[in-house]
Amino acid sequence: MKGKSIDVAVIGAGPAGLAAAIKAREAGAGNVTIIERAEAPGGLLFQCIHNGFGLQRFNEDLTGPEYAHRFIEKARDLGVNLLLSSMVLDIEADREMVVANSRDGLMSFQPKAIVLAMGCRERSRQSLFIPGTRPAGIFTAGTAQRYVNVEGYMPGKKFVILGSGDVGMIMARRLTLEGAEVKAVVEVLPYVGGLIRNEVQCIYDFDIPLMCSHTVISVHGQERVESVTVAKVDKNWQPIPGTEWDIGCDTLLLSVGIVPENELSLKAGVALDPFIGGPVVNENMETSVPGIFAGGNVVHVHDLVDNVSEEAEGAGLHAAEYATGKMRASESKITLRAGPNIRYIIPHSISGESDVTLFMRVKEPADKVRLSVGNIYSKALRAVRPSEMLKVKLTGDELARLDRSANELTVSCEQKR
Amino acid sequence: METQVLIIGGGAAGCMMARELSRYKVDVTLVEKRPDVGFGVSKASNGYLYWGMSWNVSIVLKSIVEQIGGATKEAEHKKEEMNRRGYELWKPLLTELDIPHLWTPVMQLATNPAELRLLDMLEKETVARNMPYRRLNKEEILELEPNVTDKVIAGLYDDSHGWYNVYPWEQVIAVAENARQNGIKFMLDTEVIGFSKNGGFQIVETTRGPIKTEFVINATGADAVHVARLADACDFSLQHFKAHTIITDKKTRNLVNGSVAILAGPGRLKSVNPVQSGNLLISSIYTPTDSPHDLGTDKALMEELFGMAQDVLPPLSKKDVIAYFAVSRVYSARNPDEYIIEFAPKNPRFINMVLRMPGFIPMPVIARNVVGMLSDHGLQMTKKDDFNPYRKRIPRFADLSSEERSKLIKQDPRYGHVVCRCETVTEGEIVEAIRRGANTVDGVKFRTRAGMGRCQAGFCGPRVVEIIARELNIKPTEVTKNGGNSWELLCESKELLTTRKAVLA
Ligand SMILES: Cc1cc2nc3c(=O)[nH]c(=O)nc-3n(C[C@H](O)[C@H](O)[C@H](O)COP(=O)(O)OP(=O)(O)OC[C@H]3O[C@@H](n4cnc5c(N)ncnc54)[C@H](O)[C@@H]3O)c2cc1C
Ligand SMILES: Cc1cc2nc3c(=O)[nH]c(=O)nc-3n(C[C@H](O)[C@H](O)[C@H](O)COP(=O)(O)OP(=O)(O)OC[C@H]3O[C@@H](n4cnc5c(N)ncnc54)[C@H](O)[C@@H]3O)c2cc1C
Repeated sequence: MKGKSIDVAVIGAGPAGLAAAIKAREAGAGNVTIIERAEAPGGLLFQCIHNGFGLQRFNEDLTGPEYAHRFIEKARDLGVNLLLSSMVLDIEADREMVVANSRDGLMSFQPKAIVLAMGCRERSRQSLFIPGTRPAGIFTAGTAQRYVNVEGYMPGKKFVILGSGDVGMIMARRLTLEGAEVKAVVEVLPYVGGLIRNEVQCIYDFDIPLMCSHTVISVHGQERVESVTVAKVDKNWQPIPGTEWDIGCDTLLLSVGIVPENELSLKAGVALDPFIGGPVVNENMETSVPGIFAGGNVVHVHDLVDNVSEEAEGAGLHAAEYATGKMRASESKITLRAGPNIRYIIPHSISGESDVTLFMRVKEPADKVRLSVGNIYSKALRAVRPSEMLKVKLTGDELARLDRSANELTVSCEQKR
Repeated sequence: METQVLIIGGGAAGCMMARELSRYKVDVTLVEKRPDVGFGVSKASNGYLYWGMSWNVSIVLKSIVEQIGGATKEAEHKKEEMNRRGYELWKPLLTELDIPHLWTPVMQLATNPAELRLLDMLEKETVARNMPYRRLNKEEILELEPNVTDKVIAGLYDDSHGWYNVYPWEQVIAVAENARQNGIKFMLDTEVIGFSKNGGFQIVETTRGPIKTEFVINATGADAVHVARLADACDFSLQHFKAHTIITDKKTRNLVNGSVAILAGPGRLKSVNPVQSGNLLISSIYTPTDSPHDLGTDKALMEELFGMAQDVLPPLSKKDVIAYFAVSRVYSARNPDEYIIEFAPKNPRFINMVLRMPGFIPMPVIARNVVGMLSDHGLQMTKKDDFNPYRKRIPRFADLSSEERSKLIKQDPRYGHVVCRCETVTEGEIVEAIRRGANTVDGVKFRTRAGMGRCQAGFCGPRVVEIIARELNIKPTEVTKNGGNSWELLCESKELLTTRKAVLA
């Protein structure tokens, strides 16, 4: 079946997709359609029933579903089409999309522009090489979150959580509130992987044992998890012999990282950043394939949904411009380079001609640093951590200082002397 | 309950035996202690059907297995013959049973003088066995396989015979489904726990009650000694070797065109193989073990194995690993080359059937031979007129063309609902798997690939549990990963709070 004509197709109805679609409508795109695999919009927020969403954007402390709801309402009001329970299977040349659902069967659309907003997935045990048996009772923290918050089931009663990412810490609290026992949160790094806010509100406030510089070195139990062996690690994350001990538990939760979900992007021929796993984007959030834009966790993993919305709005705006032929031919010819203690920067390149927001992460925690972008921006910061994304707005003043002939700008975060 | 032939064990051996017997007018029952067929060793095997230039493992394995002693030319010859014929019999079987398979050429490499000596040995053996092959120099190798290590100095290549890769469990399930279609009774979740005799009959005690039978076939793999002892029918012992396996992401598939391996020394084969699903399978390190049921993986061995794969194919990265596991192989302690297929010394109605490696390949031949043995011992074997050799696989949405997909969704809208996004598995496939007998998460996973992709069921896990519960009309808390106490969920939300309140009050 050949579908009707779409100006901007958005893949995914998480916060990124919703924000992109809204912006695209506001910017004048006629038919904006979100295609979402799940039966309801909201993406990951649907299962995030805790608060802490929207502090930046709305100056309010909302739960995930509440935050999503505001966008869902607005999208409806603006006449954004929502194609739910529908999976995008493929994106071919010339942006031809193949979509399947139970109601309409197989469909194909050829939108004028596409926004990729497929979100991310959690890393599994396999990517960690945790040896031992393979019993039931090993879940990623997000899967457990879905079971507890959406399906209404407890995947276990006694937990060890490996990794102190935000999802892991939030689940440590949730499970405790649900009456389960969280025996330990085990983190290989000397510091927690998630936000300080979550470390305080989810771990310390609930007296959950946190073991940094430790890891799980083996899993035991034939049918269901019975225990895990934990050991202290050295500077190179190698277990120190003689420090092992067993912790009895029936479930091991993993919160060991989230990776952008880009199988579809690869099919579309979009170039990915091998380090981050998301598409290479310019300041318009346009990927290497003209007319295909991207925003949210599909590009890089965010810790605050407010930033997801902001970034995706950029993708939606420029997708609308592209679809309506209004896109200014601006060349993003200045590449952003990650200098000392910078892990990555999004976007990958800028034009230097329009205002732009840079999102970035540091490699290691540091105190009293100076964050600088070439010689056009510089700011002193008290403390930085890999878990907390840094945001830099470059506007008229900074851009005026830009050397027009330069094709590279280095971002760095160095200790102040 | 009564039957004429009772097969104990629903692995590659038991199921193929059942299918062969289903050609005849004989009453046959198969009991399996797990909730599904093929969940023993068979599930974790590599799934090669090949008997050409390099049944290469034999060379590196020999070095360790032969320490067992007792190898004879006669057993080796028998093994060679059974596998050679088995390989030929498998070709039509793959079609009859609609088993997805991938054919690839095979390449053996050497990168240093020690490996070259092993390669020369393999070449001699290949010539003696009269198998097709070509010798390649470095340039030719890199032309055929541009991504292999540039340290290669020589290679052997077989692209005329080649090898078939099947999912090992899919093979077993296909065979079992066809046996069932042809009237074999399967009793799953049924463990044999004892034996007694009653006149000319044997009474086999199981966890679901006694079964009276004329003949018993003990096809319990690594448990064969235990089960044979229960019946006082054991005059053999087994040696176990643990083997680790690693699976990498589908995006690595294009790194090789065929199977590529280096014979590295005792118990070490550096081998990277494209498998039917489009992933790469990395094997093998063999280490002796006394506990064949310990499936635990060992970190050091896994790291070593991965390093070995990188020696062959340097572009492989650890980030590409999506699954790994370990399982044990059995060898007869009398003679490492022999397949134990014989009547027990004190019981002429009890056959022990223990497969060494390779086990899948010779099984069609072994099953025919055993029919002969049963008939020689007085079992009346009359062929059925209505034996149906054909079985159809569950449609795999991911592999279909657009037209086929559209048609399927029209027939059953559940094929339009994608449940596992990594492997593009639809609800229609999952429901069909359950209809055909899957009753656990692994049962669904192995029949449909739901949960086998890069996210390893992180996303589809809860949905699969929900569908199993719905289709079998049980509670989600009653769904297991693979039977026994392998529960997926332990209770409902809030249940822990109410019990705690009760304790406090
Ligand atoms: C457990 C957890 C706790 C968090 N806590 C906080 C917090 O306290 N405060 C905060 O501000 N932020 C928090 N965040 C961060 C924030 O919620 C996420 O960053 C945000 O949800 C990401 O939005 P997204 O739209 O990029 O991705 P998602 O929300 O994952 O949405 C992607 C959508 O795309 C759909 N999709 C994917 N592929 C396809 C396809 N092929 N066809 C159709 N549809 C498809 C998916 O079904 C999904 O609905 C948390 C995140 C997590 C995981
Ligand atoms: C890593 C590896 C790779 C291999 N690769 C290949 C290959 O590429 N090609 C090839 O041809 N072969 C290969 N093999 C060999 C082949 O997999 C085995 O020979 C074959 O699977 C053995 O099948 P089986 O039926 O004897 O054993 P199993 O599959 O173990 O079946 C025995 C069954 O008996 C059941 N059972 C045990 N006790 C009882 C009881 N008391 N009551 C009821 N049921 C019971 C068990 O649950 C089990 O299901 C490989 C083996 C390994 C380990």
